[in-house]
Amino acid sequence: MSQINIAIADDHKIFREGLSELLSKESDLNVLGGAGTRSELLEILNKYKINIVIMDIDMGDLNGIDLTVDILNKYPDLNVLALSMHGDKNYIVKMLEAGAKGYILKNAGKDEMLNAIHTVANGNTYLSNQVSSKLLEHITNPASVKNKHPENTPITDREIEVLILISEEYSNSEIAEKLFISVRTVDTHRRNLLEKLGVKNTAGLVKYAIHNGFLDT
Amino acid sequence: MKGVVFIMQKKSNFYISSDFLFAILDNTPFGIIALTPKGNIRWLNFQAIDFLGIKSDQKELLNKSILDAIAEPLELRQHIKNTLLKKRKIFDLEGNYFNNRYLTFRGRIIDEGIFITIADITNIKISEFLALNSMLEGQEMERKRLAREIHDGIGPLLSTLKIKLANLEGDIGEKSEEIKVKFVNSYDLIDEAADDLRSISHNLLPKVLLDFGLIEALEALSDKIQTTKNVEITFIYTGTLQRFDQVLELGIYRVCQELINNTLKHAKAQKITLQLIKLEDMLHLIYEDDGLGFDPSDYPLGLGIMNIENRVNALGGDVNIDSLPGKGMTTTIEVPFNHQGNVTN
Repeated sequence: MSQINIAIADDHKIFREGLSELLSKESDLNVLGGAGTRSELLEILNKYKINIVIMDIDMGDLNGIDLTVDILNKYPDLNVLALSMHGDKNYIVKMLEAGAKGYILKNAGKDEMLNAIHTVANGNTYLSNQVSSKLLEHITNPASVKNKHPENTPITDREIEVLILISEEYSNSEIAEKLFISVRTVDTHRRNLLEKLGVKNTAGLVKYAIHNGFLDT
Repeated sequence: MKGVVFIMQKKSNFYISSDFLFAILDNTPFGIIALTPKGNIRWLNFQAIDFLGIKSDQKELLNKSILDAIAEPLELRQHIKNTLLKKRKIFDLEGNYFNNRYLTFRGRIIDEGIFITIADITNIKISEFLALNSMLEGQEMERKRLAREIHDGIGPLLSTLKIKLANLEGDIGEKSEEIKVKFVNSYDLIDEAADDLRSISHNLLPKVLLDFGLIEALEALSDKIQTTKNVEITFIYTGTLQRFDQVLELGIYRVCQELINNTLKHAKAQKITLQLIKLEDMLHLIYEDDGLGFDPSDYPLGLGIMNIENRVNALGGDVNIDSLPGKGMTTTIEVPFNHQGNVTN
């Protein structure tokens, strides 16, 4: 197997050394440098022919996402593997958008780490199980659909109750009494319904209720 | 009324002309309105006209019905109506936000009708906001400092420890099955410690919030609660994923954390609905759970409600909590976007 040259970007020296010690045991992996700053990383990339950069995301004042964009601009053939504490989908998506080929969490075990490094060093994509399930959630979960238009916002069961009672000509205080909530909360629901359904007044609410079969006629 | 001279006489020879009296009344820092029992304006001073943003001048208003003269604030109109209908004798409307000012309205029934005063408490409110904001800001700075310490200290130490152990794993495995089991146990404990630490550090400073904003942060929070706790959370929001003022974002996020904590701790709820609705000039937060509920008068300052009220007040907003035993609870919060109290830096 061909040799893989590695650079580690992480703002903590102790972690870089620990990781380097772990990886150096593998005969095909050469850790050629560790960097805690942008200039240190650029120096290593300039000096050696690096195959893969293992990149932390949260490096204090330095941001691994921006740094990834930065180095890939200069070295387009470089492979970046993100190694982060953050399992949040936003970081995963941003890091992949920045051009990283892999994403694993810092709590990954040794086997997973080695697997990720080999895969990414060959130019392929590697996402740990946790990471890919987060990503899948991002794609499939309807809650994460970006609601640019208020009219597409789902209405809750409670709001439907309020909508029906409004349509049945109950006053705010009658609705409040029926639902065991205050008049103010009823009014809040009413205003949110107007916003969500994109209508201007009570007539609009009633019209919506009828069109959508919320009323027994 | 001008020109009618009357004399206020006590036992001394003290007297005062009406011109002089009206000049005094016109120059006090309070708005003053005197109404007949039927609600017609008997007299009012310049301050009252100014505070209420009435376009007509003093003379035109005399003998007009107060309810014709002012369209807003609605709450004041409602209180005047009720007082005229004798449903109430007095009213005190504290710190009503109107025309860029915080006004306190007081109404009293007197023999001649109704007497209303208006005080401008904007400056008091602003210093309250500043005091509250700097307290909360101090708290947040301390949290930030702790989060930074974790990030720079114990965090990487734990990660490194894990890596060092991973390094040993291969060497141990071949020697003894018993040692291997012990090793894996220790390794799992470290994992647990790292997870706990991550969650502490996240609560101290939600990085997703700083990096990606309120919607993403609340989504991540809901995701996390949903997967780790026995409760179903629905998070609904409208509007684009815009960024709001940082103080506003952090404030709302903290309020949501507090609300969720309350539900998890006390409510035994199965469902939580969290809604963030963006209206033209304000943000609506509606938080509902289907838990045990409580009688709000039993817990006027408990259940973290005070924290929530402080946060929302610092943002210039309003909190309303509805609950009854057995009926779950609904908290509605309104926060204006551009508020004088929303000090940013």
